[in-house]
Amino acid sequence: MQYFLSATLNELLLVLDSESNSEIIAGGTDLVIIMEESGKRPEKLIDITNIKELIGIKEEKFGISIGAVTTIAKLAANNSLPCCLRSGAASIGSPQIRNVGTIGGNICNASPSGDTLTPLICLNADLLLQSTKGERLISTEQFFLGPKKTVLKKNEVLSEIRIGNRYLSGSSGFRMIGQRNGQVISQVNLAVWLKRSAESGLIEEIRIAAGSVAPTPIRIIEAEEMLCGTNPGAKLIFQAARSVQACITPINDVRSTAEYRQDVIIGLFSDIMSQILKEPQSC
Amino acid sequence: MRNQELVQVGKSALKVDGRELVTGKAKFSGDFNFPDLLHGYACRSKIAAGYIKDIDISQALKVPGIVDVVLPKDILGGNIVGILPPYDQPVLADKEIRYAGESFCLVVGTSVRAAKAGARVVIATIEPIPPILTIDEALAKDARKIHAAGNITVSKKLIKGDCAKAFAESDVILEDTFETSNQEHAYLETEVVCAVPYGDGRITVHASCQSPFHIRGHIAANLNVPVANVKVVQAYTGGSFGGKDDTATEIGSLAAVAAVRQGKPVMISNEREESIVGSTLRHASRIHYRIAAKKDGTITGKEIKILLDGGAYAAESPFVAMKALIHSAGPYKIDNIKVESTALYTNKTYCGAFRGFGVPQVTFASESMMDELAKKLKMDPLELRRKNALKPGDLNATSQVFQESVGLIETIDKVIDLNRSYTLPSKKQDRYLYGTGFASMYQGISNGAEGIDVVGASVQVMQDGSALVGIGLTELGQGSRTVFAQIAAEVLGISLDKISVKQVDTDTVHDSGPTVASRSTTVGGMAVYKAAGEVKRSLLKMAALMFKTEENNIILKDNFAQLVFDENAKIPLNDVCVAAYWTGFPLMNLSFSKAPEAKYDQDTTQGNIYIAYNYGTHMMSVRIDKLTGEVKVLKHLAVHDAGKVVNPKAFEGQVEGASLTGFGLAHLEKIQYREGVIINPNLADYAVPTIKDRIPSETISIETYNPTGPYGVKGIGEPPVSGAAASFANAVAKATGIRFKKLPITRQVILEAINRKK
Amino acid sequence: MLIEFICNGKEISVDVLAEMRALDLIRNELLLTGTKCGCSKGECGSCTILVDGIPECSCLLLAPKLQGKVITTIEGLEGADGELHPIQQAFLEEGAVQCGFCTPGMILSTKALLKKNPAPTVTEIEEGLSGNICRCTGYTKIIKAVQFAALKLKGSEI
Ligand SMILES: Cc1cc2nc3c(=O)[nH]c(=O)nc-3n(C[C@H](O)[C@H](O)[C@H](O)COP(=O)(O)OP(=O)(O)OC[C@H]3O[C@@H](n4cnc5c(N)ncnc54)[C@H](O)[C@@H]3O)c2cc1C
Ligand code: FES
Ligand code: FES
Repeated sequence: MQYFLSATLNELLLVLDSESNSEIIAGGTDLVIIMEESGKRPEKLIDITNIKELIGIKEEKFGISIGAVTTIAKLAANNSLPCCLRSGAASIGSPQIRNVGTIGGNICNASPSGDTLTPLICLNADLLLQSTKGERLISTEQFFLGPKKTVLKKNEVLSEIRIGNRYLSGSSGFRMIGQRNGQVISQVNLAVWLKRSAESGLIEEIRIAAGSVAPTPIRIIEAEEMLCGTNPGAKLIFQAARSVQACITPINDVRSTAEYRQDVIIGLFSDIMSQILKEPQSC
Repeated sequence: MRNQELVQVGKSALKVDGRELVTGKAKFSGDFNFPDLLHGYACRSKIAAGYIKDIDISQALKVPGIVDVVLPKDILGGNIVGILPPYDQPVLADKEIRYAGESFCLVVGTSVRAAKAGARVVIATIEPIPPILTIDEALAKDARKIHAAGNITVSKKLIKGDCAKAFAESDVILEDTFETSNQEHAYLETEVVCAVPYGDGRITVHASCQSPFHIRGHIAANLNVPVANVKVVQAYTGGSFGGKDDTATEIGSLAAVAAVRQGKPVMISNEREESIVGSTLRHASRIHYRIAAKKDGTITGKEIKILLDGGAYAAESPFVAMKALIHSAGPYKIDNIKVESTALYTNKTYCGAFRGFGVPQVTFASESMMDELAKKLKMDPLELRRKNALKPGDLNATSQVFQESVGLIETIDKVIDLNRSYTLPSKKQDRYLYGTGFASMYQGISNGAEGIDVVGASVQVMQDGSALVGIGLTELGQGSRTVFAQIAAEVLGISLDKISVKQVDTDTVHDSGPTVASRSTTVGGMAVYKAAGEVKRSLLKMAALMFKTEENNIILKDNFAQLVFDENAKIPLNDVCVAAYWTGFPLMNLSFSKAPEAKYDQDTTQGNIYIAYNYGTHMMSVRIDKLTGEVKVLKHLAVHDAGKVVNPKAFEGQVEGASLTGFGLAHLEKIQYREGVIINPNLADYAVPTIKDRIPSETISIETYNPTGPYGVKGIGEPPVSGAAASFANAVAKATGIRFKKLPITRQVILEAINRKK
Repeated sequence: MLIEFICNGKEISVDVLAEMRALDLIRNELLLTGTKCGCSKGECGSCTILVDGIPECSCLLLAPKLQGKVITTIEGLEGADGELHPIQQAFLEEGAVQCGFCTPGMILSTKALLKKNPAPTVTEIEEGLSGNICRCTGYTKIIKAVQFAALKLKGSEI
């Protein structure tokens, strides 16, 4: 196996284009385990962590741009990011994992339980995919095809994650649960973003996304519709929680029963809603 | 020893081997490095049961770096391992696969990576057979026999009094069935051995292990060489908790066979997954419990049936079944008891010793029943326990009587007292449920029914006034080296910094049996006490000559020999040592401590078994989130009578660690199978408690004087596991109003039960 | 490939295979065996090292990634005169060490934590050490050791 430390985005795109059996490595927290377990190595491993253009969180006209190689720890600590994304990042693994793992890796690894995925979906984030042939912007919601499967092509790199101003201005929350408290992989995770009308206080727009309850993270449109245009009280929130529960199709696996996923999502949803509505500044 | 003023014993001495550990210098087995070191990697079965038709190693031998593949036929002295009869386990599976993860050959290569690559291309043709995976399947009338003798490993009985009569005459009878799951040791260091032919005609094995003498015996047998040709040196061992007995023996033998074949050092270092699937677990169990009582709360009878799922091989099942048998009725004075304890074979990873050794399982059942009985009789649960608690002079379950050092009532009273000053948050906040649970337990100290209990220890005093202690019991993190140093220091009047305790090297210390059963401090400590006492005699004799006085006028203290009546008249101990040496008084001694032999009836298990019991009562208060099932432990008291406490800080450390393991057993940890294959063999999906899952344990010791241990000590390594697990179960039951009959009681189980109750 | 980095203050220049993990390089080539391996999957923290002062799992780190970095292993903490680092001393004195296998990783995570946050709360300590599993101690004494170390180190250079 050859190790190639890419210095610029251009150089990276050229290599991706010319090498068929190559693989991108960012933090490596997913990839190294996969390589060690399978014993298989690509011919060329392309390290993208030295590409300055891909690192960091910047304010742009359209909102915020997050370089794909920004570490999870940096996300968790950045106060200009919406609450749900920061909390999602903070709930990943351990300090050691967050210091190395990147948001691009979390997205491209496409685990149904990835903890930044539901926040990005509810923030309606766009992903910028680049190759020598050009670039395309695709919404996070459209990016995932199944566990470990995405629309990313072999010669493409995810370079940037974009969150629009509209979605920076509302309030949001994230909650996950696992088997234990520390270093825990989500049995279920849930993110909500909403915007309330300045005058009426009614919910103008709301986006809800759930993870680890289907082959990919999913949006729960039915519950969104139920809450849109309302100023929900406990009863309506509970009804919406029920509809979240009804929309998911979880399975039994090593981490959880389907029944628990169905049951617990009600509590997670209520928690997020009461946090957003009662103490929007608490995050 | 009683009422003696103590200098070292009872103090929180720093760990004598701590410096090496905090600097990273301590050498664990995997830290050995030799220029020609080879690595062994086992091929393991992916299915739970099958007949081995063919093992094709030809491709593996072509992989670069592969030097050898060890097959069952290469184990010249016989392909048998297992530290106890019936010796039913092969080192490498030969004809039949009995569990998923069982190894059938060892690939040896110049690096771990090469060995693994080789293992990947070994082609095993295994004809699958339907696996037997549950207790019921194993017991079924026409069940396939996993071993020739059938599916029952061992079955023991305990009979005291007349149970039928007691039940017939009782006011209330309660009956229920409880289950527990397999628990993994999850010591941070996996099993690692390194076998080295040092060119001295012998084989040396550096091992992360618990009982080096077991390993030595097995290696000699497997290699077909005299035991004297084998040397086992315990390296620093990264935790064991019972788990590095059987497995270390298995891989120790394999590494030795491979090393002898190649004439080069061979290391086997289990990966985490191997350490979970291919090494012992805590027995899963199903316990049927019947209890008879009078209206006033007097328990008159208990009838208990214990079924232990021991997995594919016997390993330590016979002992675990025995321990569960003896402890299942709990620390109570009950006149009529009938217990049957049976261990079974199934096609799953084999089970063995794990901190608590069968006691946590039966304590969970027993203490759950105590609470149910209290509820039925409308009695306070602690009062019910107190009423039936064993006192000095009472006959316990095996009709053994202890006239002293039975501090159970004191532990209950302490909890009653402390609970009075603790109030749970009010239940008004409707998101949460609150509850407090209690559990009393006891645990026998010493090998007891498991065989002769002898420890040999040597103490050698040098001419510079320092001392070296040698003993065959292993330091596994529990702090036994420090305790032995403290005892030697106490006897000899030498300061702790001048005492060194050897690591166990089977060449230079006496066979002391296994490091199990919380026996290190008692039986081991007694041997050190005696050996140090003998050397002290020489020193006193010499000092008496130097002072020209009688021996009993002299004490040894602070590295001096001094006159009892004039503390200014003193001679440095090193001068006494030099003089003793030149006078010809012996400065070294090897002494033995032998626990009184267990004497009991084989059919009824009535008689004297252990040299002492540790007694304890735990209290745990929990807060349960009704919407998620999350549990927060608000308070945990662990009150134990462990005799005299040699080192309070180390004592607390044992209680805190064992309690969290008990909490893990009760709440977090569950080995999961699919068709007999473990599907969570890692530290993420198998939920070992992290620092965010810790519980706020408070350790309280009720010191009694135990006449069978040096300075009155007993032991503490294992007992808190049972107390914490059982009190957790009772706390959750109290909070939710639901009796959970199966461990672990996870968030998921709790929430599902709450929702179903609604 | 040739990589160069600084380990415990020493310049290292070494030829490695691209697929070698930092953990194997440190243990097998540099012979610094204080860095332990408990899982190879980032789940236990016993392989923790500091890379430019930040705790990382060396089992998930490919050796080429060390190029140009400054790393610290447990062997780099002791003073030249053999004096223990205050964190090591605190772990010893508080009884936070039992088998000691988790200890090197725990101590390095503590060092990084206290550098970022010299007076952490219990919750912050728990967060900071949540990547390090200990099966022996029950963690209570580890928390005490971190608090004690914080006290000892107050104001001084970590
Ligand atoms: C112990 C442990 C605990 C964990 N806990 C969690 C958790 O709680 N929640 C969670 O969500 N995840 C968790 N993870 C998973 C992992 O840490 C994250 O998914 C992390 O964000 C991956 O980032 P990385 O940079 O390390 O990815 P890498 O391993 O470098 O890459 C992952 C995959 O993405 C590809 N890739 C990476 N970056 C790009 C890019 N910019 N463009 C195109 N392809 C790219 C790689 O080729 C590779 O296939 C855990 C992992 C471990 C080891
Ligand atoms: S060995 Fe790296 S985290 Fe366990
Ligand atoms: S001291 Fe043994 S794992 Fe922490």
